[in-house]
Amino acid sequence: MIHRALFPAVLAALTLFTARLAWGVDLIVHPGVAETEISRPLARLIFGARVTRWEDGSAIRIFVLPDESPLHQEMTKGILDLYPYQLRNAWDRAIYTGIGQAPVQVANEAEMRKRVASVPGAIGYIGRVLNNDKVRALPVR
Amino acid sequence: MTKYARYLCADLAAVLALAMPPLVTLAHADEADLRAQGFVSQRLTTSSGKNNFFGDTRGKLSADYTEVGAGVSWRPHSQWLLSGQAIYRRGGESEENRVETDYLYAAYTPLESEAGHLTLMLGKIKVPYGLYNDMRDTPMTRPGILAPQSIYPDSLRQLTQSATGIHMEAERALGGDSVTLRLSQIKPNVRGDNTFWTLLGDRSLFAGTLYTRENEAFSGQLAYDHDGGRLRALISHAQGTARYRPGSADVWNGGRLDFRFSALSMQWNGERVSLSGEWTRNSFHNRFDSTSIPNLDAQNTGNAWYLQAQWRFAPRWEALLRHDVFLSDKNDPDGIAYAADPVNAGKPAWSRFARGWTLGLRYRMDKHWLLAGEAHRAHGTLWLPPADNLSNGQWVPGNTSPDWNLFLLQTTYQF
Repeated sequence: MIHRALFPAVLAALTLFTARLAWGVDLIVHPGVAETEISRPLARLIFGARVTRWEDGSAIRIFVLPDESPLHQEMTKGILDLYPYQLRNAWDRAIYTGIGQAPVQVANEAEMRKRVASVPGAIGYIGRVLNNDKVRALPVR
Repeated sequence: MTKYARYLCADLAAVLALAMPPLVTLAHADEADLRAQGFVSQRLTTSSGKNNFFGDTRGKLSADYTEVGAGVSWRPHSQWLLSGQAIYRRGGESEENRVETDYLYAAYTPLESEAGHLTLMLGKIKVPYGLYNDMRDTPMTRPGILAPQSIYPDSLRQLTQSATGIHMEAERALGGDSVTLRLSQIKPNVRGDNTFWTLLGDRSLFAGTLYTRENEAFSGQLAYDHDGGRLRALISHAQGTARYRPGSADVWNGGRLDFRFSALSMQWNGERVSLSGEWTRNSFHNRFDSTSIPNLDAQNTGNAWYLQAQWRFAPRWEALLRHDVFLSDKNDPDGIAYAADPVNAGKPAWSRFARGWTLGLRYRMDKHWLLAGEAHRAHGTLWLPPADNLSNGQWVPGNTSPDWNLFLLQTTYQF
């Protein structure tokens, strides 16, 4: 009986744990950005510095956390389905061949919230969007 | 202070003095449309036998090789990007020891969306060829301290790395995959000493100089990226003509060298391991006219390939293993027929090929600092830079060692 009761509990805990790994990060944008959702391929293109403007023609400003930050790794793998080194290689290539501009790196989640809320056209990511946040979540469809 | 350290300090000071004021101004303008980037890199090199590699490196630890780059990019309008980078290299007789324009162009992107983009560029651009040609000039974007020398020989860098011209890039997204076509019309740089020695070989027979005309060189690349680059396949081609301007009392009235390079490239990127392989076919056709000696008409086709594994075995660390093969003549892979020909008396078989192994290690301390070490074991001297290995001002391939080692350490700071 104990086993029967434990099994669903363990399963639920595991599900929650894996869900946290896969979805414990939200893309966020400046409240003035018109887009209400984004596809995974477009998110890849934006964070890879290959799409540089929103649909209305305004410039996209990308903010990222340091490569080794757990949230950055979660966003890269969970949302973009890429490895962090692939993004770093894409940015190095963009910067040093001059074909693009790299994202702006911020130190932590608090700074990410602040910068994305204040820079028009900004996109970034945080662990969870709160009710009183000045940034807006951008769901990945 | 040693002679090298004095040179290095003077050189670095000159470049940094030029680059620093605009860069300091830009350092905090990070979400603005004007960005600055740069790097400083210093190598320690030693090589064995009689062979020098970018400096006086045989049998001693040499600090002869330095790279410094600084540039800006500016997006004045969402469809326009202006980009430029100056680069300075110091490296024995092979480098010109001066600041040069690495790239400087205007890019216009009239179409850009989730479905793809179209970009046109005008100016001096990095030529896309294979996996690495447009990224080989900055230490952070090279695979290892040296790019695979079979396909990206540093002795021919000035010819292949960047060129003035017009360039088009069209990319079409197919779900998570993408197809990219890049086409360029370029005017390659054939002025470098190594380019001359590598293409013509003998100053006593060729007293003149090389030059290029407009509209005689083209390059193209078709790339398929599967699943955001997890699997990549590329076909590249570049071709051009170098022309010969006779020197005083030259036996040649004129001449032309047609070159065609084609490459097939594959790369797989896993979480910890990346595997890359490239294969190229390089053909040369040299024609020289003379009224005093028989005309020269020579064709030659060579092959090169490498296989490379990169292993990210711990955060910030990467190990590299590579096997390289570079052949001057695909029909004479060991140079035996070449060396046996009386016309090539004194030119050894080993100057016609290079086969080798590379073992490397790199540590990326943070986003600014990169430390790397690399060991090469080579059989053959085909990618040895001639300008660093002259005997009394002449390139004498016999005065080199067929089996040699090369060890490099490199520190890079980038911003």
